[in-house]
Amino acid sequence: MRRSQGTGKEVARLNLLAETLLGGVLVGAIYSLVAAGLSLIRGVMGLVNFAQGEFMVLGMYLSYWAYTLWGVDPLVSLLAVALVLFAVGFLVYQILIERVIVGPPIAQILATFGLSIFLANLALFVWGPEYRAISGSMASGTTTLLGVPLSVAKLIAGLGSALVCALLYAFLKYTRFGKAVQATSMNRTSATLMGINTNRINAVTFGIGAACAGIAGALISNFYYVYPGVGSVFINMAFVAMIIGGVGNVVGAFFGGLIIGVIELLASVYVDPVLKYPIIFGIYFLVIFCKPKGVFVR
Amino acid sequence: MVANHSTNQTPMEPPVSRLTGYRWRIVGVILLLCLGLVLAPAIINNMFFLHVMIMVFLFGGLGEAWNVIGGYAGQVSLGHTIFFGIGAYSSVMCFKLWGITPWIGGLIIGGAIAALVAALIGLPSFRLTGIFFTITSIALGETARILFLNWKWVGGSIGLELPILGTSWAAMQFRSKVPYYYITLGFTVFSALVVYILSRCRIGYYLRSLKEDEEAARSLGIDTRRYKLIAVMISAYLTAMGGALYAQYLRYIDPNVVISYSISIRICLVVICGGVATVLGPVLGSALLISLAEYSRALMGGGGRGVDLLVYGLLLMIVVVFKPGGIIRIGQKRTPTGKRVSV
Repeated sequence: MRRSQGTGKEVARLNLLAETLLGGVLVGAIYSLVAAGLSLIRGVMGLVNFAQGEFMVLGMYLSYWAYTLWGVDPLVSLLAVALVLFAVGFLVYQILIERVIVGPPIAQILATFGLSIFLANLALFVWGPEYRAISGSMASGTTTLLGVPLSVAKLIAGLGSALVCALLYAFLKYTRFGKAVQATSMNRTSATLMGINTNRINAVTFGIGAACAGIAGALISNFYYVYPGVGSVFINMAFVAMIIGGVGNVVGAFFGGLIIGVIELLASVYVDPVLKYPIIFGIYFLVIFCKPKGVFVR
Repeated sequence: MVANHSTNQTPMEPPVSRLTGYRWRIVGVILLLCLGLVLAPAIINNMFFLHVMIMVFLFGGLGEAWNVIGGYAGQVSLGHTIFFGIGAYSSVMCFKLWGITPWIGGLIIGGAIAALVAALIGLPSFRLTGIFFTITSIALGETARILFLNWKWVGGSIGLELPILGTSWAAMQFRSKVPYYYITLGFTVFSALVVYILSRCRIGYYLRSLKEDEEAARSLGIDTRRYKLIAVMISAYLTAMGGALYAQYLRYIDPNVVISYSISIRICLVVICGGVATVLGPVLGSALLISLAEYSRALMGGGGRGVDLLVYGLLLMIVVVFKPGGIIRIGQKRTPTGKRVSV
């Protein structure tokens, strides 16, 4: 009798662990997608885009309004959101980034930082500080995966993010344009000499980075609250993921995101939810001071 | 080569006299402004005007403090709210626990603690450069906020309230806003003087040189890490003073008020928009941005919906693209070398 009770507890504990790990991987995949865009931009043009979180917020609001006003499901409007965010990123590059890209690094930090403040408070000004949520979309309800109960929205968001990361990787690895992006990231001068229009590569890369954030936003709008300040939560996690994975390394950023997601959930389940960010920042400090090139580099 | 050629042709005398004339004019304008500011409360007895001026002076002084490390040394910190919070908390805690007057508890003990913390943080952080230093400072600020939110001894998320004692110079509490006006004015003048002296002595030149090219500065024998540490300690001390004054003015503090990312942003923006690595830039930036923020908040009523930060963000982008030296450099010619002034 006591024995079966013991195993019952054991099973419950294992279930909790499995749930935590799986949830962590799914949340982590979203961080991965935001971080991959961040890392790609940094790799190609040496600029860290502070406004990446706000691009994500924009994606969230777009899919929220498409659903609320026209009844278009977030999963349906996903592609349109990605295209809009790509256009936004492309334009932002043409209007703002191109002017500071040759300037001192501090000007680059401040330009995207100003953009981030501007967009976050524009969202606050236009849509107000209310927490909004989508209910009753296609991705609702729960399912079980490997015996672990999960919300469908989270499952789709996690798997979708991972899929987009894989597509991004394939794009960089196998297409002609992707190879040009890689070449620019390796050596800008040589790439220019090889006839690559590096300025256009920059603009398109910035657009792709913004689209990554937009897709992440659209995917999480199914289960996450939509409010103007949500971007800062995700950008911090994406920074940490990027640093862990090694700056400019898209694959590294992907695994960095997964690590952060798992740590976040483990910390909030087994330590204390309020301490999850200090723990993650602690890991960030450890990595940046001890292994500034990322944990995957020998 | 071209620049050399032209300087050889023109005699030395005119530029020097023009420079001193220009400088005298600036000194005159500053003296007149100071006189006006000292007399202002006697003439304009409007509570809201006084409040705006107090905030302008406070952020002017904080901007000067940030300018030491962010402007002259070129290390863009977005975590200065840590030092601000330390100043505010030291002042209130010293008074509540041991009855130490805020003049000592905030302006001296708080500053000293902040300088010590700055040194401890700076030692590892100054190995990082550019964006990584900035991101790390954000992460440090957020970590500090969360730790203070959960630190019961300092009131946690409930915060701390100062006992209301009416008007008392020893407790730095006043019913009227006028004394706060003069105290914060004094803070700005003090900070600006510190920056003025720093910018004209050896350390100021060291900081500027390491900002332009750290490798070159080090190869000339400048111990760049040591001077960055000195700079951040001075900056932290002054920032903590501002934090203490703010706590005395509000009489209530909690981590979300005094250790928030938005305070770091405001401190930094005041300097960037006003003019980095100048003595008057931060004050000018504060006069423009903070009064804009306070008046727009009053105009939009209550929430204000972040319209001030909206304008800040827009202004920051415009300044970075069109006038990287800040608004104070509008109308100024380019530097004698013809080089762009780096932000």
